[in-house]
Amino acid sequence: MTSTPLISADNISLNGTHQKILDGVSLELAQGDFVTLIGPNGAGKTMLLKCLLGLTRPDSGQVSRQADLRIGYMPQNLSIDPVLPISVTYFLTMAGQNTDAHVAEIVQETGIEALLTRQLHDLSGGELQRVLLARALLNQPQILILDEPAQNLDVTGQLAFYKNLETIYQKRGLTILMVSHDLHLVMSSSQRVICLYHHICCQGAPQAVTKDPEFTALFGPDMARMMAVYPHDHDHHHHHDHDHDHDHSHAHDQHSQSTKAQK
Amino acid sequence: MIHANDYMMFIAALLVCLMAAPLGCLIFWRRMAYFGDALSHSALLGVALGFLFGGHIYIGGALVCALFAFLLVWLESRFKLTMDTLLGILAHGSLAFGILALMIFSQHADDTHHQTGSADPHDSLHAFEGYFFGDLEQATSGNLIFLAFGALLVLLALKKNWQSLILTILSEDLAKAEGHNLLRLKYILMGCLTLTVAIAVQTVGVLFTTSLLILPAACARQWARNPKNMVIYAIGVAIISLIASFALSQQQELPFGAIITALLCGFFAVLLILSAIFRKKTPRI
Repeated sequence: MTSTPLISADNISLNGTHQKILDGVSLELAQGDFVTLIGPNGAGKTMLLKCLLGLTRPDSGQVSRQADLRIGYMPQNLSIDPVLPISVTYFLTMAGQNTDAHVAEIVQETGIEALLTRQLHDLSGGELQRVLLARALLNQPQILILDEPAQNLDVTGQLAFYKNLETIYQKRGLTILMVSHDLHLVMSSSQRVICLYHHICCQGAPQAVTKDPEFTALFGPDMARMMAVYPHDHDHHHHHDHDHDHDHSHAHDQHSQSTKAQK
Repeated sequence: MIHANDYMMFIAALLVCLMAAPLGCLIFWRRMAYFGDALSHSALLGVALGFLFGGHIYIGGALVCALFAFLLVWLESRFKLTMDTLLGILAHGSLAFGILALMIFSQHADDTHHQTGSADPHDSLHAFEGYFFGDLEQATSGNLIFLAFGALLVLLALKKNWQSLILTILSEDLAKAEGHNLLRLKYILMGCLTLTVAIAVQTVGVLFTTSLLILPAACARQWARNPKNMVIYAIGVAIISLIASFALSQQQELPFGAIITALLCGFFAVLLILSAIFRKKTPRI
């Protein structure tokens, strides 16, 4: 697809008090992209999202969004103050004009049927994330922007969340931009990974990025080695019940060798 | 004995309660209880200035409140100072200036009174008292029209922006990403609050304006499960206490603001105990 990008940033910089938070970042998000933004703490990932969303104005450079772009946003760390009484249903139905059928469909898709009468501040981290995802989907967004959506979840919860997200991505033909620390989980579902440390260190297909020297410099050689084998671990998740541990490691070894050979 | 004027006084108090209940909920949710207080303190400077320049004291009060609210929003967004610091500085600053201006003015008036026997120094002291305790007898038909207009304006503005205001409380980033103009919403909220406080100060006085905002909301929070029904409960609580305290203040010649605050406090205590017994959960206030 060669249509104009939904969102593009052209050489944006953002100054912090002591150093540049963002330094000459350029990127484009095209229709159907699934992009994951990774990087150490304090690398400027959240600020980059905020610039792309238009919540923060960069000090230099240009951000352009397609006219009338519908964005679904899932912020990081939404803490609900219990002084405000609000049920999940109220929270969802406040999002503009939606038909009951549409709301019901999204509720089912995100698996929050059982939460509808609960109070927002009573939800656990994982439950709240699903409700926020539902809310982000209600406005029928063209692009979903998620800031560490699975940070409060345990490993099982993270897996379930990312799997659900992938299903929704495929079903709805969305574009997704996501910040994540869950490198191993993210590697398998993303088409493109962007490594950020104030500037874009490296980007590309997950496999290629893990082999980039910049990636190794940022996350260390151990992490790079681990990442190089991870996608295949994911492929085998569905067969966990089967007893073929040996095949697993064998497949890994083979693949590691073959990727090295390709390089 | 009920005079025709009593009806007007009742309607005035009712209108104030109708404005104060939904706004009270909003500032309760935003944890800005101190804000109503600060705003009403700032009205004293307006009263004093109104006196000094020979104008109407309540117009002075409303103008200074509006200036104060605007200054707060502007300073907060411009200099990234926290709201509580700003409130402390501006509220007590304007209170101090107000008291100084009023004292200097009344001393000055006192002196001229001794020399010429013209101005009555007790005017300013009377205004002082009305300012602290409120003065329901201000409710003349002309004032009522002004009041009704103000109440209508505030309620319409809140109704129109209700969902955006709630969303802003939940997450400013989310609201902004969904295209809500946060600064505009802030000015709307401040404008409504300013108008309400300027009017409520006339009715219940500076000492009890905050209680009229916060107490019905705090009572309603005990049972509400959604923002909208919390507002309805708050209005209900306010009207019940209004009727009771109005009857009492007519009989006993006691200041209306103090009675309604005392009643609301009692109401709150009972609800708190009931909710602790029946819900077996820590009440949320």
